[in-house]
Amino acid sequence: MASSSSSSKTGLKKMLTLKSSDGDEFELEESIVIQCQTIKHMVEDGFSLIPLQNVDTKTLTKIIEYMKKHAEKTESNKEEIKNFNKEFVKGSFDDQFELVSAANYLHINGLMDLLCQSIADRINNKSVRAVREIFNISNDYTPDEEEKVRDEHKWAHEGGEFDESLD
Amino acid sequence: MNISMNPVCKSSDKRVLELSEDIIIEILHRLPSKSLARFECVSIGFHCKVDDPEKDVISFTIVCYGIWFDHSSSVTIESFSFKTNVWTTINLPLDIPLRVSFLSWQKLGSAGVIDRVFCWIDMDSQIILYDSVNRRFWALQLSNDMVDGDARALGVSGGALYYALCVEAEITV
Repeated sequence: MASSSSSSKTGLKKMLTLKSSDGDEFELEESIVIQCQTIKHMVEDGFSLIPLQNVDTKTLTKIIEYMKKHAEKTESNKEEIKNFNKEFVKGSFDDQFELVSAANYLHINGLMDLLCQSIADRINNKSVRAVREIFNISNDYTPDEEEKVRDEHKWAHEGGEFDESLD
Repeated sequence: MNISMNPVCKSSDKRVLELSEDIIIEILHRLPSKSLARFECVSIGFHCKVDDPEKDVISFTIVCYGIWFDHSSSVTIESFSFKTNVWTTINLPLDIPLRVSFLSWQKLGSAGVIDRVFCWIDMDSQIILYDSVNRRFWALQLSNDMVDGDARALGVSGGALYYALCVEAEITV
């Protein structure tokens, strides 16, 4: 999975090495990596080995997959990118949360947008209870307070069943 | 640049990642307002995020009106509120019958809104106004030299209503 960083230049392309929190190194062309604002700023500051202490190998592999695909983006492969994005957001909520945290930390705006929208779409029809479970949030309302908040937006709780599943 | 990230907590069998507040806000603000309002019940913290006034995108209203030729002493106002996600229709009697030039089935979104007063430009020589608070509907007649042009537009900027008239290549505001 991890590639060696022994050859720092391939042809004329400037190469960069990303190092995951697990210590694995990934060598990539600079043109691919600059989609990520955090790394772009580090490159501008002269770094070529970039340690990412908050991103593990599993997450970084996925993020590199995304950046490589999106670096190929042209006018003619819009459909292909669309399908790629669709597949990309299919993982579990936990995987998506790992990715969205990393995308936020790395400032990859396109990926951030893709993941936030996909998570929003997936929780849209969930019940309040399911959302608490998914986001690992404990209910800190007293029963009376919760009832009051529910009453304020009665209309929002009407109209069919909400999805209780956690995936 | 914010390079802090919430730590990943590892429990015995299940890894639980807590998303940072700014990410949760990013996600919540991509939800339709109905789900957003429902999720205010999730927790007090969620309630605060949903109500974040800086990112308030949910109180937004569209208003259309329609007047039937035969019954021009009343007007139908249709409004859509993103707060409630519902269309409501009200019929208003008019004190002064309005003469409108467009066809009875035609409905237009308003050109703009100031203090909950919605404005339209009529194909005839008038600006139509609807006060959504007091539920008043009326027309402002424009003088002849204000309507004698090729194209007209109505817009709202910085709380003021602007009327632009294009006569040949000249634009008067």
